[in-house]
Amino acid sequence: MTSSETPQSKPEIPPISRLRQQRIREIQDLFDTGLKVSEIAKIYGISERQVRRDKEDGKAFDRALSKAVDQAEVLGREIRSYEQAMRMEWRSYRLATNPFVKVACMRNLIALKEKYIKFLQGAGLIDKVPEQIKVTGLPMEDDEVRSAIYAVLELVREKIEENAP
Amino acid sequence: MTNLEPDLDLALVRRELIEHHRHRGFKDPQELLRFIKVFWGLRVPQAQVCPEHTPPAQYIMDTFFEKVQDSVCWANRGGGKTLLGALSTWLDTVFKNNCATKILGGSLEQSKKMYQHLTGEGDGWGLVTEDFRYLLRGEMLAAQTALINKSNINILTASSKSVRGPHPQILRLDEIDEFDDKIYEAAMLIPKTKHGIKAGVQIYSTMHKAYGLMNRVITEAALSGYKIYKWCVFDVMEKCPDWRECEACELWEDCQGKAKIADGFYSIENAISEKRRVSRDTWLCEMLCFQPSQEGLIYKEFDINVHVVSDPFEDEPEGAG
Repeated sequence: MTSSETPQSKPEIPPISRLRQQRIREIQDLFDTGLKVSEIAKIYGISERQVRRDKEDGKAFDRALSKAVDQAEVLGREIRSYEQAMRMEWRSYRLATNPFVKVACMRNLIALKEKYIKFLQGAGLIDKVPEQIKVTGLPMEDDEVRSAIYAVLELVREKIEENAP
Repeated sequence: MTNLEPDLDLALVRRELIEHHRHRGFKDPQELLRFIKVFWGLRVPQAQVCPEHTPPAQYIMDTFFEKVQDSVCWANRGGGKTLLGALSTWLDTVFKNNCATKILGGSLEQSKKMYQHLTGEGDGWGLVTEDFRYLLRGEMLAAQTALINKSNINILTASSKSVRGPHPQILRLDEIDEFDDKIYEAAMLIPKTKHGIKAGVQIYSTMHKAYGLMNRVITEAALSGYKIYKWCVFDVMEKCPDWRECEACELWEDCQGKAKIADGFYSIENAISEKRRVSRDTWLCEMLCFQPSQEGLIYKEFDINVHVVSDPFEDEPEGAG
C-alpha cells in the first residue's frame, strides 16, 4: 500500500478556543526565547500551573498538526504544479515565432522534466535507475582474482608514472 | 535499456587487498614484493648482481617471514638501508598484530630520516599513504605511532635514556657507527619475544670507521648469530642499457659488466660522477662495501693481531726480576 492510499486519520486537535490557541502559541515562543514559567505567568497574569498546562497543550497541538498533513495531497499538489509549468512551457514553445525563444523554451522544458523526475524519485514514486554498479566484495581469497587485481593495479601505477611530469 | 557501467573504485579495491593480507597473510614472498611495488611503487632489487652479496629483496623477505631474527645490513651510501628499514618496519606493523618496534638512529638526523620515510615529509618515501591511514590509532608521531591492531613504532635517537623503557619485539638500529659502545650494549637487552613474534635486532649501517662499532659487529657476527646482508652500489644499480659500451665506461674496473643484469634504482650517471669525486679508498669502502679505509690513520699498517702482544710481565709475581 503506498502512502497515497493510507487513510488519513482526522487531526486530534484538543478542543481549545481560538483565543487560547493564540496564547498557547505565544507562550511556546516565550519558552523558546528562554523565559521561565514564573516570568510567563506574570506576563499573562495566570498561574504557573496554567502556563505548564498551556505548554503541554501546545505540544499536543503540534503533534495533531503533523498528523494533519496529508502526504498524498501534498504530493498531488506538487505534481499538478510541475505538470502545469510544463504545459505552459509547451504552449510558449508552440506560440513562439522567434527561434531563440523556442530554444530557450525547450531548455526550460528539459530542465523542468529533469527536476520533476528527481522529485518523483525522491518521493519514492518511481524507481531510480542505477547508472553504475559498485564493484566490491571481490573474492580476494582466490589466487587468480588476486593476481588479476595486482595486474590492474600495476598497470594503473605504470600509467600514472608515465604521465607524471 | 541503459548500459550499466561497473564502477571499480581502486581505493576500495586496495583496501580490500590490505584487509585480505592482514587476515590471511601473503601467499609467497613474491606476492609480498608485488604488494610493495603496487602500493608504494618500490622496486626492491632482486637480481643477484655480485655473487658474494645479497639482493636487498632477500632481506625484506627473510625479515618479514621471520627466517632470521638478528641481522646486519651492510650496504653502500644511498643503497636504501634506511628506506628498507622503514619499509620492513611498516610491513611488520601493518600485517602483524601486537608487533612493537623501536628504532634507534645514530643521530637525530638519522632518526628523522627514518620517520620521514614513513610520513613522506622532506625526502621521505611516504610509506603511510592514504590507503593505510584508516589503520592509524590517533596521531602519527615519531615517538609513538600506534595502529588499531595494537602494533606500534617508536623512533628515537640513541641515548642512555632511549634504551630504557618498554621491551618491544623488534629493535632496529640505524647507522651504528655513530653509536656509543655502551648505549649499543644496553640496547641489546631491549627486544623480547611476545605475542608469538620473535625478538630480533636489525642493524643498518655503512662501515666507514676502520675500528668502529660496525666493524666489530661484522667481525663478531658469526659468533653473535647475526646474518649479514651485504649489498654494494652495483646490487642496487639500475639496469645498464644496451647502448652503454662497457669498454668506455668509467665503472668498468669495478663493474665488469655486472650492471647489465641489475634491476635496481641507483642511477649509473650518479655512480660515475661520485666515483670521479671521491678517492679510490672512499669509493671502495663507502660504495663497494670493502673494509674501511685506513686513510687518515697515523699507523695505516697497524694490525691488532700482529702489533698487539700480551704484557710479558703481567703474570710475573710481584718483586720478581
